[in-house]
Amino acid sequence: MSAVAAAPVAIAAPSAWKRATRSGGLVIGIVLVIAMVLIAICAPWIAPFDPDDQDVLMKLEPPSAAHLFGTDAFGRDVLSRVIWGARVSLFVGSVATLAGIIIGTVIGIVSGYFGGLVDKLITAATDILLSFPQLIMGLILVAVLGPSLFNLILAIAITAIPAFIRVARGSTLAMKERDFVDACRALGYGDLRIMFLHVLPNIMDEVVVMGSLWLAAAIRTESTLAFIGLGVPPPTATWGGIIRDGFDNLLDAPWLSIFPSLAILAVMIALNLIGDGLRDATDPRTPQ
Amino acid sequence: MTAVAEATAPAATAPASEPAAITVEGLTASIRIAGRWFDAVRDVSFEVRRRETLALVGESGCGKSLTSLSIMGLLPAGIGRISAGRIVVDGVDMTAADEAGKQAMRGERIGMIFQEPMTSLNPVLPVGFQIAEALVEHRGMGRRQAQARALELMELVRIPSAAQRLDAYPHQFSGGMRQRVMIAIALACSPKVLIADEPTTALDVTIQAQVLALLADLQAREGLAVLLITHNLGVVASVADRVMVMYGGDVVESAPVKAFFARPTHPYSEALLAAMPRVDRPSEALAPIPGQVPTLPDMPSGCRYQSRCPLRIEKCVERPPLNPLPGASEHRVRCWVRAP
Amino acid sequence: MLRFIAKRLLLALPTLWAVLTLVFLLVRVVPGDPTIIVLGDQASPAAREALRQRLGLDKPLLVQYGEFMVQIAQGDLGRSLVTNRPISTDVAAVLPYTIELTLAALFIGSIIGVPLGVVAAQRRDGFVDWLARIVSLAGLSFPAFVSGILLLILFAVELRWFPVISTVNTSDPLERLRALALPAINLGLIMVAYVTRVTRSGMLKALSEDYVRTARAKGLPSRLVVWRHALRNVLIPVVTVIGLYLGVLIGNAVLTEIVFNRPGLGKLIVSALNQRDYALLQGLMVVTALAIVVANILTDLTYGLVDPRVKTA
Repeated sequence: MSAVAAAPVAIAAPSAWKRATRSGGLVIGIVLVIAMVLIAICAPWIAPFDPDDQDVLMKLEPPSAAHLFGTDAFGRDVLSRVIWGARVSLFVGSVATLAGIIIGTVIGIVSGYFGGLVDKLITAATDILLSFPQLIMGLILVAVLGPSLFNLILAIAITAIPAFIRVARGSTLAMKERDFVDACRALGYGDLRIMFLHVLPNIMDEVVVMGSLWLAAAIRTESTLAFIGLGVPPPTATWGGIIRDGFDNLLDAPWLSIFPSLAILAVMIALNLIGDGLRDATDPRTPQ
Repeated sequence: MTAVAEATAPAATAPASEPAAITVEGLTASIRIAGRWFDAVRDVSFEVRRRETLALVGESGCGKSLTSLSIMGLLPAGIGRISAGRIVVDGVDMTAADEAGKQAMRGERIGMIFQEPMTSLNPVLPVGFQIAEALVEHRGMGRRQAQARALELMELVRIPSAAQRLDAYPHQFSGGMRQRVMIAIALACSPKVLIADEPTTALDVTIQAQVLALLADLQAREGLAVLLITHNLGVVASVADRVMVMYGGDVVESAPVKAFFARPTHPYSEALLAAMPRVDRPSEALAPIPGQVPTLPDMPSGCRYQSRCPLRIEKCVERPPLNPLPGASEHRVRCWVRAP
Repeated sequence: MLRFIAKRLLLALPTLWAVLTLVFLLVRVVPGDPTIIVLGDQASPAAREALRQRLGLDKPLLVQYGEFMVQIAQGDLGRSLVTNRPISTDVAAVLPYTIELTLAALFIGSIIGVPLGVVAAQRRDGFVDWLARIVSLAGLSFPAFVSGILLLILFAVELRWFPVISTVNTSDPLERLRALALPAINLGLIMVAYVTRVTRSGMLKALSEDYVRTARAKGLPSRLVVWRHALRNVLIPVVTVIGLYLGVLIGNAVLTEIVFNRPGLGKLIVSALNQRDYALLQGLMVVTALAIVVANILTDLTYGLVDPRVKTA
């Protein structure tokens, strides 16, 4: 038997970033989202036509060199409308989700931290709200409040809040289990400080994962409501709205439905990839 | 199981002319870590005859479970493999057999019971069904016949009110009862070989004694060859005929039980016995073995124990052979110092 | 088992009450004067007063609430503001179609999702695993109306395999199936996504459990180990996931009906929205709430079937 001692092999655990980028999904998702955001921001400069510009002579033209995505029933360029529609969807989606995150997380942390009767009530209310289909609730809210940009954001935010209450509360409870909170109290920290300087940063990763998945859901709800006719009122171009307009002409002018659908799809896929990638990166149980 | 009066006279074991039930020759099993293969079990050889209990002893990570999984052919694909050696069980070469051949042996000619009775039974299937399964699969028995046999087995392993509990689920049994169910499952097809991997470690002491007594009884009735894996020397002393101590994947000492406890020769065996808390000497300080078992990638290639051995000499960087002690051919030790 | 069912039904009552209260509040969140919204600015004060009385808006909120609950307990969903027909009648006429669609989607979701997840888990990073991940991503990324429209364009318009306008009322079972196919596939797609994911991750976990090791030690062939031992345990998280996403399923069912022009709750909701028929809208929300509670009960009961620990507790 050889007398050479085997050199110890160093085996390091892969870092979170490495784990995240191992699945190309996260990277693709981020790239797509950045592209979308850039397109939305640069809409005034990229869009070949004014999205509200009607041209009765060019009604329902199929895609051509001049109109890459064709024109709609009013002769408006679909490509421009899709580009401008990105603004609406991304804006509504992000503002609504952000509102939901902020309000929901705060309520969730406070509720989980203090516990007691109030916590029980909030949990029960959250469970009830979450069991109701997000779409139906958003539909009802916009229907009774009246369709407008603000009401749309409000309705979607309201449907998002319970989800974040649940996530934040659950994570806060987990923190409490870990004696983490007791240790902070023993150091003499006040409740507010513990909740927002100590608990909050620790639960951020779960909130972010939820956030990206909910952003996708928010955009989905916005475009769905637009399709039903409860979105931002016309003539503002929204993806769902373009599809709604094109729905009556499905047989003759499918491009009206196809292109905005692809746009919606691209955003959804990107956000889902990001959400999954983040979840895989932050979940210690994912097999490496 | 027999209390062996003489090291060399196995009174109730099978006659020497009958081939051993388990024969392991030069087994080397490897594990894959981060893409590289490391030998977790090195050149292990032993035999177990019918009506004999061989105890495989060692700390966690010494390779004893891996050895038993190798015998069953259950090393997880892609992570573990048998790199060298031959394993013959009940006349069948397990190392040369294909998966179908191994499946035919498992459950039918070799039974195995595991450490965790709480999680080793399927929670959503009735107990009687799980016992009967091997019979249906290997013997082609009809469902009713197999259930009848399952009932017999439950009575054999002394489960009270067996008839009512045939359709009960595992969560309705206590830990000790579940282990008995495991034994019934393992013995369903009346195999000649039983591998017991830490069967009593997760049980209360009183239940432990019951389960061990049951195993002893069954061994006598069915003529089983038992490979018992444990880290508990008390269990070894009470039920084993022979013992093999493993460390770092090597067999470091192998002897009949009485000879082992009378004269533990390898420094590791000595340390193990010294580390056991003694009821009759309560005020004695505990004597743990200094250091830790090295991880697989850090294992020295000579004697595996050298990093923790008080008797270490220069030569220990070379792997010592397993030598018999002078005057006791059944007692073998792998040590340059104690058995040169 | 019977005790379990009774207990579950009892627990459903407070939930039902809470969800109905939610509906009551949601519909009354209307800012401004609902009578103006329904009748328009030009309506005379007399007409508005008459409508107000009809809607019961002149009574204090608590009284309205009480009447609302009592009516529902009696099975009365009110009358449509536009047609003045009892809402329960309209709902009863279309509900079977919605149920049919939802069940078909559940069926498709399970029949495709479970085997896909099982095979994906067995051959990690293989072709099926990759396929499963793509299908999951697609199911989660397609809003129901987008997938519906794309399906319509592809299969009905271009390929002409299925009718664009489905005639659902035929007694010919084949025609009925043809009409059901595309909407069911559309709705089933999201179910496939959820079921495949949870089956796959559940299988990966189950295959590393101790009882699988025991099953292998018994010499059982791989087929039995996977499909009998592992899968039976994975059904538990599958039922959980289906229960969790029933709300989404119901929402999407409504949407699918709209896209495919199928009779069902969806079309009623659209007409209620278009005609500002708040009474009908409220009635439909009540039906939705009931559907959710019933669906949750059914999920819990299914739990009792697949998990013996629940049954015998």
